[in-house]
Amino acid sequence: MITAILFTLCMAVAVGVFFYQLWRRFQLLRSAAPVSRFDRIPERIRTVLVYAFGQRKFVRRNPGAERSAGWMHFFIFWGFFVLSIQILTMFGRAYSDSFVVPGFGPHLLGRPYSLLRDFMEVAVLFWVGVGLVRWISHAPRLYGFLPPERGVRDKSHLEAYVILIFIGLIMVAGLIYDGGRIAARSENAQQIGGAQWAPFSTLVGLGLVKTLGVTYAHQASDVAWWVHNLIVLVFLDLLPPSKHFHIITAIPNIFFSKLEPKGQLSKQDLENASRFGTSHIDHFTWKQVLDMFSCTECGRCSSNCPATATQKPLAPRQLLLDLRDYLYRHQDEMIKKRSRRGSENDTDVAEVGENIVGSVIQDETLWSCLTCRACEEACPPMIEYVDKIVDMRRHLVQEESRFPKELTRTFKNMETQSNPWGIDSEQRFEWAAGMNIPTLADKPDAEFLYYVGCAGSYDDRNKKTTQAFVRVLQKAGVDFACLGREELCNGETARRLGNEYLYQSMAQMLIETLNNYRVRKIIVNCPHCFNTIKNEFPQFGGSYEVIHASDLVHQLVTSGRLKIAPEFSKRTVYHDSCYYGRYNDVFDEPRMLLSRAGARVHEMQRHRKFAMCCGAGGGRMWIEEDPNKRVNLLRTEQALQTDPEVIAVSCPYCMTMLSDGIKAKQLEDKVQTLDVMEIIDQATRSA
Amino acid sequence: MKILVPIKRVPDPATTIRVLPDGSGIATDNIKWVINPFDEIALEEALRIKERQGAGDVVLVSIGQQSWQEQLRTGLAMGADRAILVKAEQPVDTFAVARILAKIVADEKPELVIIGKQAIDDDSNQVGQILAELLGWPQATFASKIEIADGRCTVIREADGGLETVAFTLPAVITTDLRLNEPRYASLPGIMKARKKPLKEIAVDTLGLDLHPRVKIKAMKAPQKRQAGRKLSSVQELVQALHTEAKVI
Repeated sequence: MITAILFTLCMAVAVGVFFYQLWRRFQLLRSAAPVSRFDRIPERIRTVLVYAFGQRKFVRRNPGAERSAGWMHFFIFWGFFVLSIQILTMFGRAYSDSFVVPGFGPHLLGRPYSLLRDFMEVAVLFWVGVGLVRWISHAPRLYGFLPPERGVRDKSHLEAYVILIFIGLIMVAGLIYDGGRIAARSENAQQIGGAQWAPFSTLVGLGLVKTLGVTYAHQASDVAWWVHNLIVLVFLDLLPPSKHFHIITAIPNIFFSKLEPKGQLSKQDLENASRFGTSHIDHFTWKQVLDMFSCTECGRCSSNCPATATQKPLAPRQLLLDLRDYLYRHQDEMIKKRSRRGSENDTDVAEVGENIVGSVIQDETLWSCLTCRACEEACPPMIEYVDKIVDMRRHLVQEESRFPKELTRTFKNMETQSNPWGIDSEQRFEWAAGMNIPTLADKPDAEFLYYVGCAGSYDDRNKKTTQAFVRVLQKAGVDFACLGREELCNGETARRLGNEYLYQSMAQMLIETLNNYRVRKIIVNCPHCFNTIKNEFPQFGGSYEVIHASDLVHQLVTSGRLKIAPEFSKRTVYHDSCYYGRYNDVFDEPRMLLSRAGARVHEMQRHRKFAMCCGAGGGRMWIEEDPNKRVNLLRTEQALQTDPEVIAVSCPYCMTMLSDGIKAKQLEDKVQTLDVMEIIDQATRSA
Repeated sequence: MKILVPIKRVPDPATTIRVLPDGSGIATDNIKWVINPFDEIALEEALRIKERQGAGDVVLVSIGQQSWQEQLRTGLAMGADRAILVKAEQPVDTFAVARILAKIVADEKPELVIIGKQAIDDDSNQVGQILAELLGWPQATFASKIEIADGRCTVIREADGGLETVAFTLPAVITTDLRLNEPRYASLPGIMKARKKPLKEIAVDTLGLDLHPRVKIKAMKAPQKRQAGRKLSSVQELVQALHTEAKVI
C-alpha cells in the first residue's frame, strides 16, 4: 500500500515534469516558420519502416562510421521497444503483485515475451558495455572532433556516460527483479512455464539465492524494482533537455523528412517576400527545428564532411549544435513571439534574438560547404544540413551582399554573358566548329536536345569531353541538335551560392527558350546541369525528360546501336560526382560502360553513396581555397591510393579539380584524368 | 554631402565588338550593356563617402536614350539616391557631354563630381577634365585613394611611374582609376527599392546648350587579326627576316 502511494507520487512528479518539458518543446516547434510536410503519407511510413525500424543507416557498410557502433544502436533501439512492455509491467506491479500488460499473461504472449525480454536485457547490457568501452577508449578520435568542432570537443561527455550507465542499470535491475521473484517464489516460476522461458532471469535468481539466501533474494528483487522504476522516471525527465531527446523526435524527424528530389532546393517567392534568406533563429521552419531536436551528436556528418576533413571552419555537427543551443537559449522568446503573433498583425512581430549569420554561424563556415550531401547521407535521423546552409547563404548574398569577393565577378559574368567564366556568349558554340552539329533552329524536330552547359562549352579541357561525346552520338546515329549560341546557363551555381534571384531569372530565361522550341528530351553530360534541369526546373514550369550521357550511351551499347571494343584495358578508378551519385543515384551506368570498354575498374575506399566531393560543388569552384587545405588534393590522394592509370570522371568540375590535383602532384605523365565519354569515344574507334 | 556621379552605358567588356560593314559604328544587336566599369568605381566611391559621413545624397546622371534607364536602375540598386536621364537620341561627343554635365552641376549644386577616368568604349579620357575647366573647379584625375575632411580633399593619383598626392578644397571633380575600390554587388532589397527611387528625365534640347559635335567619326575599322607566328630554323634566318621583312634592324 505504502509502495503504491510512494510510487504514484514519484511517477506523478516525473511524468508531470516530462510532459511539461515536452509541451514547451512542442510549443517551440509550433513557433517556427511553416513548411508543408504532411503530404505523401504512405511514402513517409515506408521511410520510417526502413530508416527507423530497419535502422538502415546504422547497419550498412559505411566507410565513415564504425559498424559495431551501428549494431550497438540497433540493439538498444529494439531493446527500448521490447522492454517498454517490461517497464509497463513493472510500473503496474506497484498496484498489483501479479499485474501483466493485457495480452501478456501466462497463457498468451507472456512466455515468449519473457524469453525475448531476457534475451534483449542481456543483449542491451552487452552493447552498453561495448558503448562504454568505445567512449573510454577511442570514440572521440574516431568520430571527428576536428578543429572546427570546438564546442563538441571541449564539452564534457557526461551525458553519454550517464545515459549508458542508466540503460545498463535498468537492464541489471530488470534481471534482478525477475530473478529474485523467480527464485523466491517457486509458483512464479511455474507461472512463467519454467526456466526455459526466462533463462537469464532464472540464472540471476539462482545466483542471488546462492549468495544471499532466499529471503534476501526476494528483498533484492524489491530493491531492484525501485531502482529500475526510479531510473526510468529520471531518464524520462532527462530526455527533452539532452541529446537523448532523439528517442522521441527521431522517428517523427524521419517521417517528416524531405521527399522532394534530394537535389531540389526550396523555391523562394521573391516578389512577395519580406525577407530573402534566413538570418534569425525564428526564420527556420518547424522541420528544421525538429532537425535540431533530433541531433544525437554522433558525428557521422562531420566525419564524412570534406570541409571538416580539410580543416575548414565548417563541421556539420557543430553547425547544427550551435543553432540548437541558440534555439534552446531563446525558447521562451520564441514561444512568446508566437502568442503575440496570434493577437497582433503577424508581419510586424520583431525577430527573436540577434542576426545569427556572422555571429553564431560565421560567414566562412557557410562558404565552406560544398553542398555535397555527404553529411545528410550519413545522418541516421535524416537531418538536413544543405538547406539550412543555403538559406543562410541566401541571406548573406541577397540581403547583405556579403560574400567572398571573387564571387562578384562570377555573378556578374553570369548576368551579362550567361556563364560563370565571363567569356563572350557568342563563343558558346565555338567548340562545335567543323563538327557539323545541327542547332535546334536548323532542325527543330530533332529527337533530343543536347544541352552542353557552360563548362563543356567554354573550358578548354572540358570542350574536349563535349567533342568526344558528340562523336559518340554521331557514331550511334542519335537524332540530336544543340541550342548553339542560343544556349543559356541554367544558373545552378548561383542557386547553390544563395543567389536565388539571379538563379530564378536565369532559369526562367532558359526555360522560355526550351519551351519555345517545344523541347521534350534533353541529354546532358554534366551532373550539375542534370540535377537542376531535371529536379529544379519543374518548380518554374520546365518539365523535360532529362537523360544523362552514360544512361543514353549504355542504352545505345546494349541495344547494339553503338559498337565498342573492350580494349581500354587500363587500370581505372571511377570518381562519383555528388550530383550524379548521392543526389540522383547514378552509380551503375558509368561503371558498366567502363567495364564494357574493357577498363579494369577499381574503387576508392569512399565510393558510391560515400564518395567524397572533388571540392568544386556548391559554387566552391569559384571561391579561392587555401593551397594547403585543398579538397581536390585530398580526393586526388584517395584516388592515387588505388594506384590507377586513369581516373574516370563524369562531371566537368570533377575533371578540373582532379586533373588539377594530378598536376599538383606532378603525375600527369603517369595518371590520366578522363571523362567516361572520352573513354567510350576511344573504345568506339577501335571497334 | 551631395555627390554627382555621371555614368555611361558601354558594352560588357567580354563582348566581341563587331564594326558595321559601312564603318559608321558598331553592331549593337546581341550586346550586353553595363555601366562603364570606371564609372561604377566612381559610384562605389561616392557610396562609401556617404556611408563614412553617415549622410549625403548620391545623384546619378546619364546622357543617352530611354533604354539607358536600365543602367541607372542598376546604379540605384547599388545605393544611389536618385537619377537623372538626359535624353539624347543622337550620340554626343566629349565636349557636349561636359557641357551637359556642367549644366546639371549648376542645377544640382553638388560639392563633388566623381566620374570614371574614361569610358571603355571610346577611351577618350576627356570628360572629367573638360568639366572641371568649364566649372572652374579643381580636378584630380586617376584617383587611387580619396580622403575628405572639413571641406578639404586629398587624392592619391596614379601618375606614370609613381603616385602623386594632391590636396584641394571642394567643390571639385575627381576621376577614378582602376585600383580605387571594388564595386559592390547590389543586394536584393536594394534592387527592390531601386524600382521606386526617383528617376528624372530631361530632354536634352530643353537645356538650351550648343551641342554641335567638335569631333566627327569618319570611319571605324576592326583591328587586323593577329597573324600566326612563323617558326624559323636559325638565328641567321631571324636576322635576315628582321632586316628585310620587318625592317627593324
